[in-house]
Amino acid sequence: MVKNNVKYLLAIMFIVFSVSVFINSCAPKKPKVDQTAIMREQQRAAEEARLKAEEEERRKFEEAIKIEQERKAAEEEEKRKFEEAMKAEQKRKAAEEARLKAEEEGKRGIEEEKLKEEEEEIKPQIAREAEVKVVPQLDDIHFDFDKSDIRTDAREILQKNADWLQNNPDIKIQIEGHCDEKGTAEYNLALGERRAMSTKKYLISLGISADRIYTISYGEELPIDPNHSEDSWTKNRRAHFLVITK
Amino acid sequence: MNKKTSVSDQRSAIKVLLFFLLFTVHCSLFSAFADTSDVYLSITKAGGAKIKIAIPDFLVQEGAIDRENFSKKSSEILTNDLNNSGFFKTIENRDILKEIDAKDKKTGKINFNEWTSLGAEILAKGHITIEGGKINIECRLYALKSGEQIIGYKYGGDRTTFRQMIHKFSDEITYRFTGENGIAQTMLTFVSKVTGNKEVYISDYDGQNIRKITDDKSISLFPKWSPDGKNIIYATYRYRNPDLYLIDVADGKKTPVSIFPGINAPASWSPDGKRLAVSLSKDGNAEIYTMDFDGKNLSRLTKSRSIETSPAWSPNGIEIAFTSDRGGSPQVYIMGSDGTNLRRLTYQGKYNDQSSWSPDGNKIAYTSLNGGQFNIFVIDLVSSKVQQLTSDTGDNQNPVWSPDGRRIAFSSNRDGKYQIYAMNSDGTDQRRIIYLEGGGYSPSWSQRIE
Repeated sequence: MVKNNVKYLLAIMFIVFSVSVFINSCAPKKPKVDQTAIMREQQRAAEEARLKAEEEERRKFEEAIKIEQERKAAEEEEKRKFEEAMKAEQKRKAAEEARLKAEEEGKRGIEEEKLKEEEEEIKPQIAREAEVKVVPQLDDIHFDFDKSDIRTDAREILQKNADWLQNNPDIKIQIEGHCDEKGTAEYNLALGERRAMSTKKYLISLGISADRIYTISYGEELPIDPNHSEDSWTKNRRAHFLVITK
Repeated sequence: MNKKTSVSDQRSAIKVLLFFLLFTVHCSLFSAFADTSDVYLSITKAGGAKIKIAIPDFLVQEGAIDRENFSKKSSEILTNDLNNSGFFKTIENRDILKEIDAKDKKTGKINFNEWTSLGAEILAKGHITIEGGKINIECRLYALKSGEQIIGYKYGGDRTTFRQMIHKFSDEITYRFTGENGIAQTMLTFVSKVTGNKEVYISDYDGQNIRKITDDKSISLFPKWSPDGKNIIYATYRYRNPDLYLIDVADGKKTPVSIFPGINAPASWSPDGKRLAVSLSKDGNAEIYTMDFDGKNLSRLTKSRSIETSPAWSPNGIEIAFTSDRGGSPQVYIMGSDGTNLRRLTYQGKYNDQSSWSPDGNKIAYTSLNGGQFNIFVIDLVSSKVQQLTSDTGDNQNPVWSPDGRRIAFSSNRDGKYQIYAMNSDGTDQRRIIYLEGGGYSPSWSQRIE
């Protein structure tokens, strides 16, 4: 009887056990959720976000103040710079004048050096404050399209111009480089410069001192013939000579 | 034990993540409802057809001086702006517009069905009141199908800002429907010989409101807007040398930037407006340099016996396109803004110059001389594919992109003298936008100026 009871008990326990295991395995597996951990996490995140926002606010405010200060500083800087630039411009003008004077009393040593460095690039010189005039003794030379090398017909003219300059050693000249309109204004500005420079170079090779020659490029801005034909373009691709009178 | 905690940690982390994801989705949903622009955006994106808009003449308060003129001008400006944008098509029959508008006025409400019957999808209305010297414009935009107001703005200002107010409304409409910034508030600068000398001028993007901003009485060249629209850099012979000057557009104040002997131009702004790329010949021939916009911190980028000119800074600031004849003829090259990584870009044509980057940095427009004629081309920087935009219409030079990349302004002598024109960036819809007796050369297109 006892044995039987134990048997029943065991059977019942077994059934209960297996049913509970079954139920357990059938039940949707709910992950264990630690609610407090999530809450804490969320609170922490919220707190962090709040702090971050506060920090951001403060940063922005400081930045705004900084920007305002910077703006004021920039304004003053601007004013200062403008004044400085004006001063620099005046200084530059004075320096240019001084340089011109110094060059007038030029030293031979420097000239010889320049002749030796024929391959070296010759820096442009300009006569900003000068007054210029055309003289009949100096003829223009002409160039091929998009070219700055001295043509054979130009060599004769340059020799003649150089001779005249040799005979008038006190005269300084300005060479203007010009282009035709069959090119872009941008590129022609540089091309006109190159034409003036190659003309200057050639005169130097004929014995004219570099510091007697000033150059300026007018690109395609001052055509001698404003028409739009091959004929006028040929005329406009030129190096023009002027005598500096002051 | 350790494992367990790490698993539960992971779970809670996932939970937090999910929470935030949900939160963001929520937020974006809310903002979508709060800001209806997204809704209208989808209308345009589908099909890409132009949106049809009805713009009746604006109502002007009774008894105002110049009433008719204000009424007509306002709708004209807005119509022109929206047609220019490329996104809209305006209803052209002005008589019918007038008729329905009169009906609206009489009934005191908008007759949405009538407007819809014109084929319009949206309706723009304006109401102008003038008090003293001040003009107020109430602008409203309606969706016709749903019969609701999309946006409403009130602008105020003196007479000189009249056009600007309407341009602003136009850009507002464009933004609302496309998500892109319009160009109605941009400006042009260019050179003209109105006085006999080449001087620098500015105008609204539509060629209106032309003003002369230099009085050098010599030769002024290559004006370029600064990225912030406050200054213009340009070359002037005022001091007997092609020097580079900065001009403050607001007060006309001029500051020397680069005044080396020889050429100091053309120049191009870096996209942050802090530096300039300039062609200088101070060292013997034209080379590309960069400098601060006040002329300081000079840095030489090229060194060759050839000509280097026409620098154009890329929109991302990393590269500079320029023209060089080192290969025997002028061609477009690209290098890093520090002078490294030099490469040749154009191989087609014997004479290429005046390069201009598209705002997205993917294309370069340039001018090519072929058979004695200048024409505008665009090269795709990825595929190197070249497209010719102008042909058989005189000379066409100096392409510059609008800040939205949809239009290109240029100068052309197709009608005689060089004048300023604009076209779509694929070459269609070429129109003159400025006519001056003194001609128009060398345009530059500003960013949006408010």
